[in-house]
Amino acid sequence: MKIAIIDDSIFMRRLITGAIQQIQPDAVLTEFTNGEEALAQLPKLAPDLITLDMLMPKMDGLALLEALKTSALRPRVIVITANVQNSVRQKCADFGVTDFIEKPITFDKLQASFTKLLAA
Amino acid sequence: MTTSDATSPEVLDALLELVTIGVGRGAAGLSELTGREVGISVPTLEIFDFEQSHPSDQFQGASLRVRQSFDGGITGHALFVLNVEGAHRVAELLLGGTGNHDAFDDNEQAALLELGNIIIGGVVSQLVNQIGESVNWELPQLQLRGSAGLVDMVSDLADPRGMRVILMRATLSLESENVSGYLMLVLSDEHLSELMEKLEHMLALV
Repeated sequence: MKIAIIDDSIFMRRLITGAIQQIQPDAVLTEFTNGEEALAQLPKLAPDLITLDMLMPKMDGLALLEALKTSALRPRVIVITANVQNSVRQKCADFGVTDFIEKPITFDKLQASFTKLLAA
Repeated sequence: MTTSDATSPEVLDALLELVTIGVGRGAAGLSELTGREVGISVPTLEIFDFEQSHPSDQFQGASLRVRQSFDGGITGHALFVLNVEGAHRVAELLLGGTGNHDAFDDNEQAALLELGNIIIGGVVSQLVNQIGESVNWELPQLQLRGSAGLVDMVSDLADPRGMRVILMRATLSLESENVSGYLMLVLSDEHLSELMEKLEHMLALV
């Protein structure tokens, strides 16, 4: 499984990669620091799954979801954010994201999300 | 007459209750990240006039603040403030091990910035969700502020010439560590009035 981790915080990327390495040891992880950087590389990477922060410089999570909608890519998306406004949850749901996790990320939260994702 | 003078106790109570719930979410996040029990204080609301009276000043020495501004359904600034020693200890808890106490390295800065983002996001999202609004966020910034106390902590966030600023403050304490942080919402009188109107509307629908 190829997984793109998109978050501007090195701390959050560290937490997310650490958890995924335990949950899916065979996963190939690639990190991006914002949506713009990710969007440039995602067609080549063709990830099966994206973990996506919402609030990032250059291109935020919602803008990336909008851009993905018009691309040929159809990765599953787990949103991981502190921006837990109902309006943001609704927009993510409208974009068809697989799961919406409220920060802080923990191993248990991410494992539950992966369990749900793999069962689908 | 100030905004709070003109506002019913019921609306003020609703505002502080929503902030309390949001602080509780922030405290839960801090607890999850640090593995420590986190105590929270009941939030207080103070009117801060730069040219006249200053609220009780609990800032001693240099402090680190995470600042995140927002506009939309509510407009203002949110701050999460730790004194420098407390910030070093929290960074140690977040990252493991002991760091360099002379400076914050990139990992420590990233960890503290993310912590502030989580706590602030929990509080403001709670407020906007309850009044059925949304806000746009600026990116969070980590800033070291001087030792002149609360005036210095917020003086760059508003026009000090005769402008009142409303501070809602709550304390989050890592009880086993003797570390306390402050969560502050800084709203101009005008923007607080708008928020109060929305809260009145919300209460009318209950």
